[in-house]
Amino acid sequence: MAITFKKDRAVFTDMAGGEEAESLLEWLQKYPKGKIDLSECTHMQPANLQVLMAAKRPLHARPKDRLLAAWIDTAIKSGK
Amino acid sequence: MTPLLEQFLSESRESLQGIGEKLMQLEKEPNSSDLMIELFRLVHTLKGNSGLFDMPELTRVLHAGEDLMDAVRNGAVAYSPLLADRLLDAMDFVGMLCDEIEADGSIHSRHINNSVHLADALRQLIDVNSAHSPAPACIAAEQPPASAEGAPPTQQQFSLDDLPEDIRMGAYRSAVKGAPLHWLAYSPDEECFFQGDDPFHQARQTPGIQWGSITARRAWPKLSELDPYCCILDFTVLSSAPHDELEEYYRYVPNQVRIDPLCRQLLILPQGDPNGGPVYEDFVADALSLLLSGDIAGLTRAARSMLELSNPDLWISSALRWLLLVIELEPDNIGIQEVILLSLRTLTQPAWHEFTTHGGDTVHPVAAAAVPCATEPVMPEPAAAPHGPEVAALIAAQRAILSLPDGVAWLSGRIRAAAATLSGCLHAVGSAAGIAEMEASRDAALEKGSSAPLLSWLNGFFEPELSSEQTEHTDQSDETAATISAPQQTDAAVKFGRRTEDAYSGPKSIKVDQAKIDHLMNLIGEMVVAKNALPYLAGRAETVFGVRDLSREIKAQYAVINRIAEEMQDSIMQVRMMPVSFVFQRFPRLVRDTSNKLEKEVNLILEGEDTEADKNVIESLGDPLMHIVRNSLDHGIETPAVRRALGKPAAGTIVIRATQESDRVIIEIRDDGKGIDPDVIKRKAFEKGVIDQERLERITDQEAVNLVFAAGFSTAEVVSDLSGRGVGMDVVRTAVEKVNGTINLESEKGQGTRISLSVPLSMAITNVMIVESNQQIFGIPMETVLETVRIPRADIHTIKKNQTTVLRGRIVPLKTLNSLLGLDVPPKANEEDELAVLIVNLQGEPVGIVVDDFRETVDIILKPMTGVLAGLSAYSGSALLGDGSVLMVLDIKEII
Repeated sequence: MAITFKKDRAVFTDMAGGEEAESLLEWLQKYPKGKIDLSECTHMQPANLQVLMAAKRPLHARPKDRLLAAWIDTAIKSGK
Repeated sequence: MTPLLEQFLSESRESLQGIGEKLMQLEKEPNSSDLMIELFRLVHTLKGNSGLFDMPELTRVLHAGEDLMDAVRNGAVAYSPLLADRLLDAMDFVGMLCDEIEADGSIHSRHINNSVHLADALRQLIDVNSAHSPAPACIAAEQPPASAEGAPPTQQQFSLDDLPEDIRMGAYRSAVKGAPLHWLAYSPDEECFFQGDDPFHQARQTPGIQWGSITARRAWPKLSELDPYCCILDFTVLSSAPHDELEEYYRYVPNQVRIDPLCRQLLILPQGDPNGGPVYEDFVADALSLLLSGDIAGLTRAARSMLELSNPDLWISSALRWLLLVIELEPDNIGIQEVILLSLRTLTQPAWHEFTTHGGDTVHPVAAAAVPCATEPVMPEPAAAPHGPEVAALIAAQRAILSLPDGVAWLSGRIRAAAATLSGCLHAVGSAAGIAEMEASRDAALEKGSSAPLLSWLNGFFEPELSSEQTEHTDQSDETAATISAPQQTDAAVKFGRRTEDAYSGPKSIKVDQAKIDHLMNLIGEMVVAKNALPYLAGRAETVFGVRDLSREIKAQYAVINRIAEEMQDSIMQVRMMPVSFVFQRFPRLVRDTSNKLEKEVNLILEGEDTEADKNVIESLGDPLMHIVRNSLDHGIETPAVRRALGKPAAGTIVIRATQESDRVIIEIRDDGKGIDPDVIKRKAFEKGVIDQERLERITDQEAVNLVFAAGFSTAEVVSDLSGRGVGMDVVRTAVEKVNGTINLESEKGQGTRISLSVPLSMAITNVMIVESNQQIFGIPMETVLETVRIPRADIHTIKKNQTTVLRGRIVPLKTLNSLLGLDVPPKANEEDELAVLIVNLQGEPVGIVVDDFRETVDIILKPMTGVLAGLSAYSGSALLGDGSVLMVLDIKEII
């Protein structure tokens, strides 16, 4: 699993696949204060991205991947 | 090109022709449902086949055609000549693509647009009542009004403003160096996740990507109502890749992507804190005078010092950075620099859509539309213009500029610029007379501080386009978009329509009735025989008529005819050649189904599938092979439990291998099953009366194993639906022998069985040896002849009335051909009292046939005995010899 769900945060590593979007969505609903850590993320299937955008949760850590970070920034920004 | 692709192309051509014919027939009887169904079937097949290959352009059009025909078939859409036209156009297009695939092996991405237009044209017919289905250009064009209507204000569309300055500057730099700039909007299908697409990945990998953004098409619902698998993301990408490359990259989703060229000036968008409003008039005035006097160094200095004095977050700093960049990259492009400076006066974005560069390339209106700051409606280019498209575009652009609201600081500059362009246009179209009039209007406009006078002159002067254009302009935006795409569509139609006529290329393969090939085969056979008459003729010329020169010439001619005839024969044989994969291909399925039924595990290995042989030979192998494989599955391979107990791998293996050995094809079927137990065979054979007590006692194991080929033999305890009816192996043997093949079986108990079939490559030509007996000649097939020997009469011994001789330490039974044929004449010996003995192979055993004399070997076309003579089993057939005489070919097995 490319997303590890803890009580206080969801940690993304490598590539998050589309099938993980559902668990991500559940987790976000269960932990309204949970943080998102994308630092080790290299790519995510856009279903995950949609969940993150819809959740409007601030990112705890941006991806280290500079290019991905730029994309994610625009996505988060557009939701505001 | 793969064989599969070749087959696809040839089938497609047939289907296309069929579709054309059906459409023509439908024109005569538009209500025939049979024709409709047939037509649908053809389009459906074609589309299905195209899906095997990576050809989205082709599949897209065919898919639309299929949907349309489905609607027609179901009566939802009535047949109309328009429908036929569009379908024919689409099929022409498909045919053209097929030609291209054949020539280049792939489809060029330039066909994407045509493909989309044709598919849209077809789909449009499916629901004629609905509006024109949006062409790709329209989707994006419709977006701004759509978002203005419904979407909540939180959803913002990304625009060039949102690009970080450094990225825009980087893109500007590369654009100045000549790289193209494209603004790409990608709106993936909502269902795309279910098709396994990752549009984000697709967007990230866009060639030449400079920057990209993601926006949501709609406001996000509450998390509890969110469907994460409905894609509502839009992607926007700034790319410096050429248009073709982008089109190629997005070739699977052309209708979800809109690619617009972007003018680099549009990237110059100073941003930042206005710091209390426009207060830089002094600087702007100084800088403008420096610029107009050509003092670039001075301007640079002034800009630098101003930049140092200003807070970098200010609007002016951003503008100055751009100014410096432009000075650095394009010091001669005073126009751009001027516009940047002028923008400092008002602290508003430079109005690039009014800007005309020195080269005369106005900012592309479409690109301007992509920038949301251009809130003014943008005129589409007129569809037709009397002065050529370039001039018309320029005039349209000027008209658009002049239609902009007055009351801006740079109005005078705008009017002058428009007037200058118009003057150029007038020169270009040869109406220099209008210039004075235009200049008068310009002066009036400048005086009044309004563009109206010049605009009214323009409208008056270029009246013809105005009326049409204004109606277009006042129409709904989607209709405007439709009119834009319509001319492109006709262009496309004309373009490929012409190409199909120019580059007609016939299909490369043809289907021929087998009877025709057989006829050809017979003719070449006769030709071979006829040509064999020439050496006789040459001999006669020399011996009978004594003309030596003529004889030599005939021989020379014969050599030539012989060469051609042999090549012809070869070619015709090639036509009839088929790969053994034709029979092999059914085995994987057979083995899978049968082994499942028997609850066995079997691996099938096929080797040498491309080995070729004559069509008749290959076809005749089908049933015997099937039988052998079934036998192996049923009797050979054990169940996994038994195999494990024996220490064998649970899954058995059956290998079918085809190889070519000189002029024969060897097919070997090998399994690693339980093999054949000779004792069981012996007992069974005895029980069924196949062998008698005496034979049972002295039969060898190898001989016993070969008893399975005897008629009426079956070892299976239970008759299953697979095998065991006792008609197995003898049928196999008969079938193989019918094509002059031989079959050989080896088996080791517990280790497996190996059956090898040897069949000739072709049955047409038989090599026979001619022997003479009782002043008659007979042919004996060479494959049965082992050797020819001359045996002194003294070496012939008689054992119990049977003549024998000892050849290399082995007793060989002898039969005289005369007695075999019922002729009561003793064989002739030569001067040394030696008898001519032909040693033949009779089911693995040598048998000597005593004849009078040996003659040469010849290639003949063996004609089976027909009619009343068909019952004569002693002969396998007859053949015509070069001198016109008939040669009877003996069937050795039958006569002994």
